[in-house]
Amino acid sequence: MSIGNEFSILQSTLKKLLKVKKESGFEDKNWDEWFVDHFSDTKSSQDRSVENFFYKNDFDQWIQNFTLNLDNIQNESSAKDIVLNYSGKNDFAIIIGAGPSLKKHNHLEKLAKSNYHGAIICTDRSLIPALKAGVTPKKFPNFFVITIDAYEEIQKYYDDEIVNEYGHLINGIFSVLTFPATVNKARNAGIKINWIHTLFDYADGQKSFNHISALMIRSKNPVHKLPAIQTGGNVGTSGWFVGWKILKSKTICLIGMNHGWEEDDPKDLILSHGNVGDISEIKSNEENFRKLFPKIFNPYFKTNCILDPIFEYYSSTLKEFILRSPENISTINSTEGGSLFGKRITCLNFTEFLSKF
Amino acid sequence: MKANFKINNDDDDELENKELSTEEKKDITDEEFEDYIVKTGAAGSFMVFRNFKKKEDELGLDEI
Repeated sequence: MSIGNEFSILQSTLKKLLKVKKESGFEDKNWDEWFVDHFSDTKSSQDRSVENFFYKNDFDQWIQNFTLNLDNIQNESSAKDIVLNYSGKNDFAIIIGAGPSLKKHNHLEKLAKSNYHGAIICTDRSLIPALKAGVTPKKFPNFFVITIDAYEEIQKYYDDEIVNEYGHLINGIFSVLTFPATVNKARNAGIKINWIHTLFDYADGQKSFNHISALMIRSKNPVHKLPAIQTGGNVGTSGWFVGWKILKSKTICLIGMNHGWEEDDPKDLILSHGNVGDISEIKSNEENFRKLFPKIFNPYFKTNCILDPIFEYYSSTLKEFILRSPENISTINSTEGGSLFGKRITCLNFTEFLSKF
Repeated sequence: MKANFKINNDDDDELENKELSTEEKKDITDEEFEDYIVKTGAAGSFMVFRNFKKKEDELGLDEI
């Protein structure tokens, strides 16, 4: 770099730059827009770490799942058709996560007794508890369940007699990468299957799996297109996107979406991100614990919550997308705890939400 | 042909977004984050989709 940041280039270099700027569609835009576009192709280190993890551990399983699902995907509904049959009554949706606040505050029981008349979007893990608490599609006809995980064990969230009892009244939204036995369990319970793409590499263009899989799905019927959603890395955030982008809801309420741990949760549970990980190699001295698992104060609910590195990442990601959503989309967090608060998020006691909507 | 690169300040919106992104103090380093994922094998359910050429695609596509 020259002294004083002086930017000096040869005339021939400028000519080349102008040519590239023009060819990349930026002829009428200023230099800053072109520079930002040209040099911003760098993912955050955290995005890259998570991406590397999934390519290393799960990509092969995703391709296998998709291949086995393909025939059904081609013959079953696209989630884009849901909106055609959905009354969208009052444009409200409640996303039900499976966080600890759900039980702590009896939110399912409160919902079951309420006169709420909008849509319910259950994350797969919360389906059976919701149905058992009386949050059923008989009482709430616009009832949806969503699965984005490709893991085999997700099928257990559909394995209960109560799912068979109410399945025929439930709309299921499934990623094309879902483990086939999971979709089969839902299908056999009578749940209507509606497919979505879960975006991960679409930015890579024609060679991306998102693009190629879409072409394969459309090979028999060119108009059989599926919505492609941002998952934000977890099913709760996916539910928020489904509420906004597929159901076209204007007010989206979150319950059971802590994206964090309660202070009195067992340390091993916190360290292992809910018994998902192997913590044998994690140093758990106090200093390290406080750094990796910071306690944060929610000033709206006046509660503390403990983040782990993964919740911190996904919480900040959902907040980013909420900030980027149109102004007419309202996000209400009625979890009554957790890490989701800040700009464009209205924290509201769930009883108060139910009295208003 | 002359090239004159004038340096302007970033606008207020960008500054505000930077402040918001750090509203919760983030002590963990990128290396520690990666280390946690690699050592525990826990990474959530899926990856976050990024498209730096077409940022609006990050919010999803109606159909593909």
